[in-house]
Amino acid sequence: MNRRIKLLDPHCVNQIAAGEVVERPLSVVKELIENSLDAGAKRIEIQIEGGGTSFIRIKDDGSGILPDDLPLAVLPHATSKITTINDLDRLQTLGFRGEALPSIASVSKLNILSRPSQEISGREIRIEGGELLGTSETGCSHGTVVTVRELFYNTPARHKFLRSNTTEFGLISDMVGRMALARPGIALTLRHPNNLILNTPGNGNLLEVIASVLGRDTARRLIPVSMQEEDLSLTGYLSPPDIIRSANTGITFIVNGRVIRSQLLNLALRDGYHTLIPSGSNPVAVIALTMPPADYDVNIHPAKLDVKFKKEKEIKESIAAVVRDTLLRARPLPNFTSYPRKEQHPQKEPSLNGSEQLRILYKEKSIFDEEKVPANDNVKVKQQDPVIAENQLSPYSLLFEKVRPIGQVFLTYLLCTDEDRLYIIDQHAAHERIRYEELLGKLRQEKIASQTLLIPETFDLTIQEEQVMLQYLIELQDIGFIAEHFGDRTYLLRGIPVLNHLENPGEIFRLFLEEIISKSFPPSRDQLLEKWVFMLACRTAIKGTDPLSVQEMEELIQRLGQTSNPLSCPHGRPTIITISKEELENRFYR
Amino acid sequence: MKILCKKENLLAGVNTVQRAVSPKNTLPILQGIKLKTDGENLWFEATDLEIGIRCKVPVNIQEGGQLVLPARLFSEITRKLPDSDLQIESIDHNVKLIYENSNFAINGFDPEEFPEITEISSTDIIEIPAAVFKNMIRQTIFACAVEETRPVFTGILLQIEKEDIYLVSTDTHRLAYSKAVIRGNDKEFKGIIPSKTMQEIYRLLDDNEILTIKFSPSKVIFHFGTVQILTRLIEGQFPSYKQVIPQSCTTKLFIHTRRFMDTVERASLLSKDNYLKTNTVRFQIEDALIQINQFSEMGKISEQIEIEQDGEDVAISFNAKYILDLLKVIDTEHIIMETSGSFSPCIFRPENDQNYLCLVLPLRN
Ligand SMILES: Nc1ncnc2c1ncn2[C@@H]1O[C@H](COP(=O)(O)OP(=O)(O)OP(=O)(O)O)[C@@H](O)[C@H]1O
Ligand SMILES: [Mg+2]
Repeated sequence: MNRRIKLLDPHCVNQIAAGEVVERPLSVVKELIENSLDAGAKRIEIQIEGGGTSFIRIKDDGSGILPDDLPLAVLPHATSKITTINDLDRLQTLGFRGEALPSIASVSKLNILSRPSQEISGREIRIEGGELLGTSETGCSHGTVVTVRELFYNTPARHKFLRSNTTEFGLISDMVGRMALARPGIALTLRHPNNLILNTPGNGNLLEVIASVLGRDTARRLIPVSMQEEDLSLTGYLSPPDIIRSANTGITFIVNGRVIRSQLLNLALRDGYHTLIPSGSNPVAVIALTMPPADYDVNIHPAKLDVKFKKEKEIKESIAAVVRDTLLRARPLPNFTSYPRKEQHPQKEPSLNGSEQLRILYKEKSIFDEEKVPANDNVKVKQQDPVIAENQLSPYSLLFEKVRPIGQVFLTYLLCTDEDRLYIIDQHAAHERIRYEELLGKLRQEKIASQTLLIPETFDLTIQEEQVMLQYLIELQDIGFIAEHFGDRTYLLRGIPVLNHLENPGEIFRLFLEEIISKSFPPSRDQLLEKWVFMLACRTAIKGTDPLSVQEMEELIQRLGQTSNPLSCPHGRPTIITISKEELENRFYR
Repeated sequence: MKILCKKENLLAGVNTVQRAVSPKNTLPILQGIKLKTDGENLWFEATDLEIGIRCKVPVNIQEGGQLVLPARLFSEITRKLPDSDLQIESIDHNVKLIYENSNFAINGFDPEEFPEITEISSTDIIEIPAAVFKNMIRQTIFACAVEETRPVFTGILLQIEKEDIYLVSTDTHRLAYSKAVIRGNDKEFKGIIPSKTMQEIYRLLDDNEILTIKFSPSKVIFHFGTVQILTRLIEGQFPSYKQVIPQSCTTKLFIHTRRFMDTVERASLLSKDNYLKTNTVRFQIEDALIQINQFSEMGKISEQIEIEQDGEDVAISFNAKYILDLLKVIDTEHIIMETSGSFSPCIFRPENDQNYLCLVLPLRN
């Protein structure tokens, strides 16, 4: 028996669509704040009860909705923001789909009260599960108040998927915090239900918002970053390499005032921080991009969180470059006092592939505990911290010229001074950094020849891998891989890079393909051969127990000073720590 | 057990079997050396389950028995004993070495736990002069792969085909092939012998002995003198090497071995300290000359060697180490080099000797 095909009724259509827009309370809050921002609000007050499922109220002082338009606002595909699809290329607003209010309306009990400033009284509209219950005139302050009660009361399946109230509220506060970072000019408050969780001044100062959202201690240490290119400008803040978190909750990306998720930007940031922090750890960063709306597409998913950039490669490269430059220029020196306890040092040299082990050590460091707290728990008004931050952002290039060795302790550390400070250098880490940069410099220049193979390795590739490989055949050849078609999707690896002690080249070949598939860019030579360069750098560096003469120490310090990043070894461990004269004087109560 | 012997008897036994002792300590008993009496002889045994070595030493046996001693301690104490008469006694697993007026007691293992190094019942046996087989090992073992990623390449293929015996090894960058004749054989065998086994045979085999090889599908035993080496075979398919050896060439050269080797050695000095790259040597072959013109940040070399050339001119690059490795095992005054262009496998062989060749794959820039 054939089932007949019939059109769904509009109510059903809305509920299905709502599933995409309104996934959880967080989505409601985000959509409503976006509407307020689009309406030009300067103050937005958010109140949440019961993790957002029982009560969400957003009050703004924006333009309001004309009384006659109010019933339209909750109709599907009704928007004041665009009229044709081409408007998307000039989009100035966060919303454009005309879907948020109808979606919310279809799965909750919704109440909108709005008064544009030119009207005398406001109008209220009440909707339950998409059914219009009524409208009425009332007096109210100008702007809009949207109240959402009993979210998902009529879609029990969706309700079941929600996590605990605490978790849902955590997600909300995380998002509100990020949106606050995106709009430092807007005063945002978040209450749960009556506790003031977040309060931003709205005076346009991003650093103050960061202090409210991520904590004052963190904010004080951040380094400003900015960049101005023809069609792309960037502003924001970056953490110095000694502030790291195990999760990426401290990272916010913003494009034209919209908080977004982006694998691409994550990669760019990671590249910028490469070898400055241990791999696998995350910095704290707020990065706001301004670019023509036509240069990216946000209409990928109804949640409007993901974007597709047109010039991916360029964007990634320029951001990675500016991040790196900024960090290296700032050169924050790990302070001796930052490591008050012995067990906080990664004590042992990691084995050759020890970055894993090192990462664990870093994760366990209690020094970072405070930083490790997920942002959503951190979103509370922090008390003023009495400790005065030292200015650690001293220019560094001159420093190494004056540093002279005093001696070697434990056959591992060099004690040095420039008469202002005492420096302690880990000789192996320092030499590893020197060797790493030398080797990398050579590796970038050298043309890599290929050792042809008598008995080639065979590879069965997936359709996707095959496409990628064919597209990047030249790049593969440049690093010494010669692949040859054998039949179906089987390929022969006929040649491998002529590099010393390169273990398992077949695996590196696969890694190349996998990296492109997962990140849509070919990995650079350095990335691909990273492990190998690390291994070589480590193997050829002086050991932690080699005695050094004064000349050797001087040479080491001088060469370390010439590296692009003298402060950490390739694994992200510090090479040098310092203690200032004042600090010593303080300790001795002089 | 109770025996009378000399230090040198013990030392001979320990030295012979010691390298079969397992370096890993997963199974403690495998870190032991077993001593077992048999008629007038004392057998020494050690095994890591991959290779097992036994050898017998004549001693004066008062009371028969067997015991297993921790190899490290046993070999060190043996080395340090005075050159006097010795007596070894054991009660249960406790062993006493009695020398001069002193004694040294060692806690041994339970001999029952020691894996049996079994004889093979097979009657498939061949005999070959030790000197011949040793040379075959020497000429092939250097081409084995060191990396464990593809185990078949870490061993040497032993192939017996009627009156021919072959050893072949390859790390996929090069291949070494050696052949000898064993008159009157009609047996067939093919198996990959771990290179460690081959190394031990090479080390222990005396040039004047006759080597007996006894084989079954999963194990091979090598007998010579008082020694028996039992080896497991490496599982997997050895590539069909005959297909990859080119049968013709477009350039054939006749080169003075010593001169060639000296030149390549000098050229490779220039890239010795390059941590990044394998050292490369490039031969420009034209007008009966091999020319080498190379430079690195360390310096520059230009040399030429006169050769006999038959066929086309060619320029071809190699990993210098691979060329030196093979030149070291070729003993004739001249070698023959055959190639078919810059990118195809190149054959090197001794003059007037069809039984050996080494194939090297070129580098491609
Ligand atoms: N807080 C508000 N202040 C003023 N106008 C509002 C507000 N909220 C909604 N509106 C009006 O209601 C319309 C519908 O809102 P809705 O969120 O459903 O769609 P949208 O914002 O246009 O697009 P999107 O679905 O992408 O959010 C908006 O276009 C806007 O005109
Ligand atoms: Mg909207």
